[in-house]
Amino acid sequence: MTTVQTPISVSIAPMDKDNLDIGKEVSTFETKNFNLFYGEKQALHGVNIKIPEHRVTAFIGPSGCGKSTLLRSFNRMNDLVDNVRIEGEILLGGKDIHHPKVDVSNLRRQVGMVFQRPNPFPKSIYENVGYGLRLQGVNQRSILDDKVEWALKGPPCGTR
Amino acid sequence: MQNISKWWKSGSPWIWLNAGAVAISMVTVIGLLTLILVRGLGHFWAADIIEVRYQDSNGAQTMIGELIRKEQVDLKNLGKEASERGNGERWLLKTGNRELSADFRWIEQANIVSVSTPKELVVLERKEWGDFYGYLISVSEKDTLVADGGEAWDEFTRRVERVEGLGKKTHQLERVEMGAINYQLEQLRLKRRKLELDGNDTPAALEKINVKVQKLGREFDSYMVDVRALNKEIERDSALFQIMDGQKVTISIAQVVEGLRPNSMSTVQKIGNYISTFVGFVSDNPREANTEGGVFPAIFGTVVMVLTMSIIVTPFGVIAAVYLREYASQGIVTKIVRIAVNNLAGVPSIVFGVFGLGFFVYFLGGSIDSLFYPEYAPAPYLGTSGMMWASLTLALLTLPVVIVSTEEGLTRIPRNLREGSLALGATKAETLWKVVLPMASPSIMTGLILAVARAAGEVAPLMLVGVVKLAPELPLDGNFPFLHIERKFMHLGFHIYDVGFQSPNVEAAQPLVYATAFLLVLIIVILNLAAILLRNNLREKYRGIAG
Ligand SMILES: Nc1ncnc2c1ncn2[C@@H]1O[C@H](COP(=O)(O)OP(=O)(O)O)[C@@H](O)[C@H]1O
Ligand SMILES: [Mg+2]
Repeated sequence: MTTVQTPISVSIAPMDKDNLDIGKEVSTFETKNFNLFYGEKQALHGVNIKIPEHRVTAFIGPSGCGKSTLLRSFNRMNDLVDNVRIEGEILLGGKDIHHPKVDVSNLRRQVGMVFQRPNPFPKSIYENVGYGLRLQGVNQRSILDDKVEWALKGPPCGTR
Repeated sequence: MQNISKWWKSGSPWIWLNAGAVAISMVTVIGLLTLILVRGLGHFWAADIIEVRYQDSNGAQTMIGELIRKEQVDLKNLGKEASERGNGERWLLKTGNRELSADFRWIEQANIVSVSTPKELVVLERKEWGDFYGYLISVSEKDTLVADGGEAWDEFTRRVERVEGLGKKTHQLERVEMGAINYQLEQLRLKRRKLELDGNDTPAALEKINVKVQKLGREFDSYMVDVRALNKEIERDSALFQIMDGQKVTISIAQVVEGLRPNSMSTVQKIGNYISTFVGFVSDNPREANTEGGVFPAIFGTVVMVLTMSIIVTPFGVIAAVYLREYASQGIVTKIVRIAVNNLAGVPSIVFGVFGLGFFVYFLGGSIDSLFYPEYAPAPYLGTSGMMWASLTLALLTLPVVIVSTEEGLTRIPRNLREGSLALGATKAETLWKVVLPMASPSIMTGLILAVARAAGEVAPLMLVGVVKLAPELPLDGNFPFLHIERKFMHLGFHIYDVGFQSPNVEAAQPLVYATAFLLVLIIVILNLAAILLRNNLREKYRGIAG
């Protein structure tokens, strides 16, 4: 049995207003009667939650209550687990993230996730940090240099 | 009784059995290598030449030659009466001079009167008829005597060197310059044929080709004149020898590859000679139906074929494995495909050869010929066995190993690494290219190592799809497009078979068989070591991440 990555934090990138059409005081994520089954086993039972914009929201609960499962649902990481079935919907900026027209890669680029266990790629640190940018087609050296430097000196790693 | 049962239960019989099996394997491998090494590498040593005075029922005679081996035999088998003598020793003497008399003979030790190693004895390696043994009497230039007695030997070696230099020049002219012209002429002929077939044979176009052909023809003729002049120079000198029965024989120096007086050579000189002979063996073309000369084209063919095979099999195997492991839904179908792939590894190689001949050569090659190369008809271009089809056949043969080990590598990549990449918004394909495949590369290399080991040693299928006894041209040369995938080629494995079992002169061929076998093993080891080094580098790079 392979273990899946457990997220500890999710961040949502600033959204394209034209595209996603959000007003003020609107929640970014909203789930409606969301059920999730791992095969026969139900892990999430009718979750209804709204996650407000520009605020830190924390989930607290006993081990195995479904925190990680819910977080993984926000960028559809659970799609990668065999035999997963969902009911209900999750809206991001009012749009269903499970809609067939949604590009999963795009969604995941927008909904960042920090995992419990670090997993560096078999590349240099520079390439590891720049990996996400490169995936978005940013290959210009100067931009990469700036962003990587910012990320390495910035909030998560150092003081500012 | 109690003790035995206790001993049995203690497990030590198993340990002994295992240790025994390992020991037997080790002894077999080491024994095999030693045999090949000793038999094969001994061949290049300039052994002393002996002169034997011999007395038997036919009277007294002198024999000159190299002692190959001694043997104990029951003299009954030699046509003696059993009562006369019991066991006796007999010697195998290589007396050379094949055009004059038998070049190998057995002599009975009991009949030997005396054995000596005169310093003046000469052995010649010749372009035809094998080795020659005798005493040098004199050297002549165009029928006029230039040296005899004490000075003859120095004069002789000088003139052999001169001929060698001239020979290199003619080789350069004939094979490289004139070969290139021939190649261009053939290309022009094909171009004209194509124009004719396409209906584009306007007088202007034909005239252009004709001008080129004539220019090349003139170049060719001028080279021809040079070659004739050189050949005349080469034929100039000759040497007079006295052979073992007292007869005097004239040998043209053009025939001599190398002349030695091994009995007067020091060990250091012999070592130097050994190295140069070995280098010659590795870098020269074969002569005399492959029983003399070098094996360079065979080494070259083997290496080029294995490399081409690797270039073909790696992408195919990796793509197949990626599809099976990453994209195909894991069900009954993938299971059947996997079983089929594994069984493919068990199919005898000759079956692949038959398939290669039927499918690649006749069907694929034939179709390509009739579609794209009609100007070659009636001679086939790709519709005949050659480098490309041989490489493809071997690629097919080794495909299962690459698929299996790549799949194994893919399953070992930790899941969280893939998820990490996917969570950043990478697509499955991007994750494969940027994370999964680099990390699986050591496993891919393992597959390739096994594939190379199998392909380099394969002979049977190759005989059907491209390997020949003697290929006039190398598959890789200076004529555009350099790699000639349609050419037939030589292969060390087939060379061993050919020299060992198809040659008219078994005794002369035997050492070559061992030497060639040694080279084949050496090449496989080198190719494998290179791949292993590469793999270890990759492993080092991804260590600690892949676990
Ligand atoms: N890949 C999976 N397959 C099957 N069951 C799972 C899987 N991941 C989590 N679960 C089950 O779902 C429930 C919720 O798990 P999880 O979301 O990891 O809880 P938490 O993170 O709150 O500790 C647990 O009972 C767990 O056993
Ligand atoms: Mg958890």
